[in-house]
Amino acid sequence: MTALFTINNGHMICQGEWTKWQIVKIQNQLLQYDFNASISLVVDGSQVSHIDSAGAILLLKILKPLLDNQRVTWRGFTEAQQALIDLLLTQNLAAYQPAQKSDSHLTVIGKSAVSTGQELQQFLMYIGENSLLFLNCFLGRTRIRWRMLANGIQVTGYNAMPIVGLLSFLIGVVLAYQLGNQLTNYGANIYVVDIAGMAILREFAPLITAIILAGRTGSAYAAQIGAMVLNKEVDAIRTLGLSAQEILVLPRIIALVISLPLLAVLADICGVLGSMFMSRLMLDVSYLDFIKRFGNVIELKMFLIGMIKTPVYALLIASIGCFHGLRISGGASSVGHRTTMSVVHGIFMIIVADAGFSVLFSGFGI
Amino acid sequence: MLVSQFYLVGLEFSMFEKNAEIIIDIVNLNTVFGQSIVHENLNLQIYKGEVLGIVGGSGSGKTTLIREILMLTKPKSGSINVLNKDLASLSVVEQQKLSQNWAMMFQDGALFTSLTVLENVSFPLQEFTQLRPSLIREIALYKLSMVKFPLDLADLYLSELSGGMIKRAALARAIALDAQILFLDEPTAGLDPESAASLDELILHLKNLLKLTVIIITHDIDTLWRVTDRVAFIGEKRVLAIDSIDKLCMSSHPLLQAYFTGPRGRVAALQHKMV
Repeated sequence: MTALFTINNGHMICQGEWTKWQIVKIQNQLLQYDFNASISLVVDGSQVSHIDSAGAILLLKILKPLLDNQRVTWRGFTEAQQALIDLLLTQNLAAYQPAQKSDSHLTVIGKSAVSTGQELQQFLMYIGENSLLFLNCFLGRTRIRWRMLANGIQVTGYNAMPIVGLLSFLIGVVLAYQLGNQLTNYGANIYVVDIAGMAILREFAPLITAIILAGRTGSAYAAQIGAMVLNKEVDAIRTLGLSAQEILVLPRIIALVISLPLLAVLADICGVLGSMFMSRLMLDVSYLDFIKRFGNVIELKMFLIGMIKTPVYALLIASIGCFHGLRISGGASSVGHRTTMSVVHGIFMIIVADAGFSVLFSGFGI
Repeated sequence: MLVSQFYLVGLEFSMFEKNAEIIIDIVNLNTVFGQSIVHENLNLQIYKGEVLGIVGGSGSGKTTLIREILMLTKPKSGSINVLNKDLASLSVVEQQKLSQNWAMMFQDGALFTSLTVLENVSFPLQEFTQLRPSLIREIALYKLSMVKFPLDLADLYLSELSGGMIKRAALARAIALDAQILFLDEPTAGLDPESAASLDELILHLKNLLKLTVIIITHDIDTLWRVTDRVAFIGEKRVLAIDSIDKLCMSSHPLLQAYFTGPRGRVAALQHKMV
């Protein structure tokens, strides 16, 4: 039965079930009701079959001006109902101050500029610390965790082989197809080997591998380390007098620096195979012709130029991933935020680095 | 085996046996995790309006039992009836409906980290009721005030709170909907003695006011003495004994003896008998 009320002659008569389900219909009417704070009111609950805390709080909320002046008399409620009301009456909500209004746009911009600057500073400190730890390896002051390193190489390298191989094969197929469309116009089918081979070895294979690993490994690093931060495992490591960076970050970075170049070699092979396959299918360039021409026109230099970029990509991905992991604080939403950031920043930096390499190589005339 | 059958007879003397209505009925429950058997033919009846303590050594399956009642873990076999509904045979809609009748306070709070304390307590009200936002906020504030959570901290996030405050906020969320069955997993663990005592009082108070049935997992023997009507001791993969705390303390079963007559148990018993 729904909650009802009538107000008459300084009497408020409540009826029915004053529960959170049943007061829905009368809440608007009651919340807008204008009680004159100077009159006295008798609240009669003798016909209330059931009242829960939501119902009682609704009563207290609307009667607040009267209650403040002690002009309310409660009557007719059962002992338990009255006890509930009395318990609620003793609560003091005045201590609650609603949160301040949100900042102006200018403040928001300023705050985010400052925090970005601070984050950059933290990142530089973190890079410096990592470099120092790494250099100390050679002096024997930092121990390399070989088991973690081997495990890291397996997870980031060996386990990523199918996806990297498949995607670079498909990129090879797409590249040969797009190039072939143009080359057949000039009857220059065989040149697909020159262009596809060069593009894959120099550019595509390292870049695709790096982008896959930024999504696959960079995010995993951030989430793993972040979960450990939230679980206070990182604090435990520090309490033991060990360096979290030495144990958690260094093996991960080294693992990726080893596995990413190896994966890039796989991507080279699969990419070239992909374009070889497509050339045969679409351009009538036989496998034998393709391989012969590939050996003749593609210099070793192309492969090396591609490979030289890969350790840089690996460093960027792993250090950004681990950095965001260590910066996770608070809870689940922070894990999501930082994991996303690790991928976005990772891919961003990969492309920036790639552009840098292009400028550098053109400067050297390579 | 003979010994344990003797202790099951102790059930007959329970003070609630005669006139109270059974709200949760667990019959022949078996739980297996991989190789390890957690519960074997466990039987437990919980009466409406009582405060039942569940105790037992670490790893004896107390939390698992509660998780099974709350439909978070599926038992291997056996039946669990809550409010005369067999959990195994409920449809998804019926399950949702039934779960509005209970609330759980998890051991580490399990508050939502992306919401403030006030939003956490408002959350069940927003999901299930059609009350106005201003009223929901007021209800949430009252609940926080009732558990003695300092209201000036109500807009903080979980990561900014101490352990005791998290406990209180979790309890406030658990009582937000006035659910008739309240499960508390280690409510006083990690609290200072004064807060723990006031939490005990609060649980009693709420139980009397709102006619709650409260099921408490606890290792806090003070809480057992102060709050519970009956205590179920879980050991040897089933309910080894269930009775009021003073009777359990006098039991001669070696497991119960070890649990209740250790130095801490003796001190608590002495204090409560003197009072």
